[in-house]
Amino acid sequence: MSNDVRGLLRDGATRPTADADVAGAWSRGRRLRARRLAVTGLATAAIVAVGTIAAVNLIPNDHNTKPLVPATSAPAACAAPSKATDDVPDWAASAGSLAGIAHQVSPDGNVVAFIFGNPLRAGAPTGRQNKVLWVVRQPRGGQPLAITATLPPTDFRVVRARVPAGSSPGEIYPSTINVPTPGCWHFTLAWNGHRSSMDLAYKSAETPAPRSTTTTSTAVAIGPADCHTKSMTISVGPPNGAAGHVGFEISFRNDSTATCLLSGYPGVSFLDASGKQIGVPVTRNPMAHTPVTVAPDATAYALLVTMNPDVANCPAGVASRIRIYPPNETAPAFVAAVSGLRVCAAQSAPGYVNPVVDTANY
Amino acid sequence: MSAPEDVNAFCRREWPRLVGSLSLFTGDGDLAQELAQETLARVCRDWHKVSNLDAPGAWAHRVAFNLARSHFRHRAVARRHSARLAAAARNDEPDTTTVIAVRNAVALLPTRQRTALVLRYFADLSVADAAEAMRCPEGTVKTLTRQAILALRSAGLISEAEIEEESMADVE
Repeated sequence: MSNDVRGLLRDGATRPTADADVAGAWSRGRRLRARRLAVTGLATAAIVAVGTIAAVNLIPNDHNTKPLVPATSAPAACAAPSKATDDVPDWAASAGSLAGIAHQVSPDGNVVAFIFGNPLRAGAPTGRQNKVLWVVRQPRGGQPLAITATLPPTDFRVVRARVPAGSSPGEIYPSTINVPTPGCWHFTLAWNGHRSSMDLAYKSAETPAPRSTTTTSTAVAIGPADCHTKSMTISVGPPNGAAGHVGFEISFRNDSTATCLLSGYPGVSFLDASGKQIGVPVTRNPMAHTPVTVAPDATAYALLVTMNPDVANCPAGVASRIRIYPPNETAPAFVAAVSGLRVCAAQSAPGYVNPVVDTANY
Repeated sequence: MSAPEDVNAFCRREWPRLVGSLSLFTGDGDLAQELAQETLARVCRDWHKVSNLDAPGAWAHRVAFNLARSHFRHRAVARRHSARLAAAARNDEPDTTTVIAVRNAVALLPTRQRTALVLRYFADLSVADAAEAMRCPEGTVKTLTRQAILALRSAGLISEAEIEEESMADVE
């Protein structure tokens, strides 16, 4: 499978399942033309050839057009796990007594997922883990189980896991599967030359209710507050990657004694040696994200990517420091940039930043 | 009266390109085929005009994308879209994972970025033709394309070396 952009789009595009119905299009075209001529009252069917392209707007003039797929559409419905004892296939009995455990059988009947972590939740649950015991019908033959999970169309990330065949009794693969977004995740499973698939529902992450805004009323704040700049250690890791793009790990460590929340994108810009901003701030890389709760002494991460100004063909400045605003914070942190870091100084952004997540990018 | 041979030839040539572009733009293969057929009807309706254009393929793509946008304006979009994509994802073809990832990454792009990416890198329109089809400056087409490619990079679909290559191509 090719990796270049053209190849990717060719792989993603669908091919026609039938030939073009040109005759049908022609007669429909004639009807459309007759209808239009009738409306405009022209007596003749001749259309004068014009050299300009018809005035049809491909894109709206309104620059706030919503994308075709809203980023936060409601999670698709998914079958709930069953707790009945009579719908587990007989061949799964080799895995021992699992009566009373919530489970789900794949549509092809070859895999049963016993969900010890019921209900499954998005994010990385702290109190209770997303444990799933996969029991397969066909023998493992010592081969691992390759799991991929996707959530079309809400989240384009692919969650992968690989479970070795070391457990017993029975043809079982114990696993803990975390996904970033709630919804009906589609799992494909492959082991020892066999394939199966099934959907598992993940509920919302264990984030508490939104915090109350600071008011003078006696309202009590519900759930953790946003992490404050001054109570965090914010650092930027060493450069990663090839000459065209350089990736940096921004780390946010919670130095306070209370759990706090980092939700969404940090604000990132580059300052030159005199403290002046170079160009414009980095853009937010559009992707689905969930709030990250950061326990005391725990760390959250955001990926920062800068473009090589020579490749992007823009005038360059040398960054001395990186200014970072944690999400929803008005107080910035300043971190020294790696020596000689060149970034775009013009109107095109010097790079992009991903939303804050709970696992390191590098 | 059947279609003239030049109409036949044009439609046969553009059909798979229109179906492919629309499938990437809408995320729905069946819908893409319906819209492509309707696009051909428009091509036939305006053939006298279209046949004289420098870039009739670009015109056809503009009409196709307009029909797609109209379709979504007038229907219950998100629910049908979700259902169809989920249904498509359940076909257990080999390499489904990457194909799904590509389709979803493209579907999540903002409309203008998605349009620029599909016109430039699937329909292979030149920067000038894409700018004409989108009615925006050529620099905007390049910027939108670059942003779209960066998003594909963050989805893990292309490497940095490929971005460098594509950026160079845009610059020339």
